[in-house]
Amino acid sequence: MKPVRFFTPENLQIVKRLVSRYPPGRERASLIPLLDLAQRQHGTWIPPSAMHEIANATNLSFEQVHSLVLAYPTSFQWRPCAPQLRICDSWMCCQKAKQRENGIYEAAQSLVSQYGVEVKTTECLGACYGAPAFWFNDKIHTDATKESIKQVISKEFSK
Amino acid sequence: MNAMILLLKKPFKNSLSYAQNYFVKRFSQYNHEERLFTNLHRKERRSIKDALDEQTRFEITKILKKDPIDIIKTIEKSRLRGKSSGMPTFLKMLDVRDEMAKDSNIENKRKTSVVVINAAENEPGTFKDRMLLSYEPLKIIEGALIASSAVDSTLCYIYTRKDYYAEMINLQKSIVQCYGSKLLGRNILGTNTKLDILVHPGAGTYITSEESALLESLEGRFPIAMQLPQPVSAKGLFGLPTLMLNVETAANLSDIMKREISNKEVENNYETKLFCISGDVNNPGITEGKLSCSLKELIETHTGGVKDGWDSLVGVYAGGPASGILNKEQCERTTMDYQTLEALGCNLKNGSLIVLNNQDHVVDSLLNFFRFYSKETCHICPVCRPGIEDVEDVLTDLQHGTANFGEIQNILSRFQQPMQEGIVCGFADNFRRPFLTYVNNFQHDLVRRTR
Repeated sequence: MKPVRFFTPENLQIVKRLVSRYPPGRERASLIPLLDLAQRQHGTWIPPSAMHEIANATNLSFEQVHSLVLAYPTSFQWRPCAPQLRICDSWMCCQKAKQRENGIYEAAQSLVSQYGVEVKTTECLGACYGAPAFWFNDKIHTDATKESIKQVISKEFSK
Repeated sequence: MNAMILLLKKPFKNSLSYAQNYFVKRFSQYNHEERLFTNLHRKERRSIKDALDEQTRFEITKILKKDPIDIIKTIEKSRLRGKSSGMPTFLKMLDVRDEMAKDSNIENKRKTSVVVINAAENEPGTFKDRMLLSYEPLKIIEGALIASSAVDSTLCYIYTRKDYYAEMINLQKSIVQCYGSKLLGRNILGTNTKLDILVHPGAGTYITSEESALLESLEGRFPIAMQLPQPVSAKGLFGLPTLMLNVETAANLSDIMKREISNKEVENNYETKLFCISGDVNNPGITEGKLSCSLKELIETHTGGVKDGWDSLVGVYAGGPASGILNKEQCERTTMDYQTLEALGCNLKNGSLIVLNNQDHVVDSLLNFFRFYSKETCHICPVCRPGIEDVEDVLTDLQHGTANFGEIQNILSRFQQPMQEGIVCGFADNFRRPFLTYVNNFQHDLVRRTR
């Protein structure tokens, strides 16, 4: 196999440290942190060159790494996709959203299409005290209204 | 009966006292100075260097110099229990020690053991792990120290959920500070012990909060609940004997040991528990309450009461959506305890209360939770595969008011079949209970919505 270069030199040191955390012969346990690192470096999805390099680093085959990506459809993406805004869909958040203003899901979709962001629903995010909760770019925000969603997204994109 | 026979084989035969009825009602006033988690109550974040003063260092060195069997005896006296199954914690530690001592004479060496802490919560309505990870990381590290010294292990993994990214970074920073102030690594505080804590970020589906699925996910395979030939304490992670603890039980360990050192009483001392209250209340949040306090007192004093007064209460999920719904008359009598709730048909699993205000909310919330469960099952067992979609259809009919009584009887007769072989995880009990308690406790509502 031709050597494939995907990781930056700083990330390569992190890869070596991650593989050495687990006992020898069990490098399969380090796959999930490595895939997470690859997804953060590239953006929002994992390209096949990253999977080839991870397979070389942990003595596995390409098909084994790719099948693990398919097992977690909410965390890892293997096709090019847009950044995601995830809204909690359990009963407590839906009830509070109905009491304040109707249709936060549809309103978020119309607001957010101008930035090129996708809207999805998830399970409980652990923020039931501040009731409609949403997740964007590794942070959990509470008390969602139309204005607060707009503020958060414009702040993240202006950085 | 099988459980009792296994217990009698254990060397500590005097410890059958936990099996007796230990329900003791405490009529004392709730003392605010007796809280365990003070940082959580004030919502403060303190760095580890401020929290580690001379007294805590002295106490930790004293704890680490103890014999491991003394540590297990004090945990047995305090009657600490696990979260998902209600198993006493000292039994788990004894199982691991039995497994480690089996082949020691033959090969002249002992097996090593591993401690795994389960910080992945995926249950709707609970957020206590997130609060513990962000405000109280020192207690988690002390709990890992005590658990590993009781089991003689030198390695500990903490498995967190992927969505809790900021909290995981907070925990990792506090671990690095502990390495700097000689609380972890080699030669901890002058004694001869050694410990390494590694944080493993997991990728989330609902089933990874279960025991065997978590170990499969940690080893890098497809996360699914497996039927293990040997229990986890004998052969778990990487083929080694493992001790699995929840984050909340690990955070309780340090206070129990510190009270024993300063000669306060440890009997029945596992009293406080974190309750997460949400739903139709005025100020939803997290509180810490004694295990024998009444439900009415919890809701009224700490969260400002139900919306529109106590008289408009309809039902309460006592323990999360996996346990059952209680009536209004039952709510006025219950205390949050293991035995009273089991007598009513519910189960105190996580300790999260969801309060309902309106008659329509009962069927709406049930439908929402069952849709969530039907997305997350693995569809392998004979209980889950045909069961959940039928219940969903019946609930949608109930919501519109056009249900058929024969279908409900069909489902109930299927639930009351004896436990079949081939059931892998405890998920099958989780979705039987809310529907059964709804049919038993809300009969007027059921009759109103059927033809």
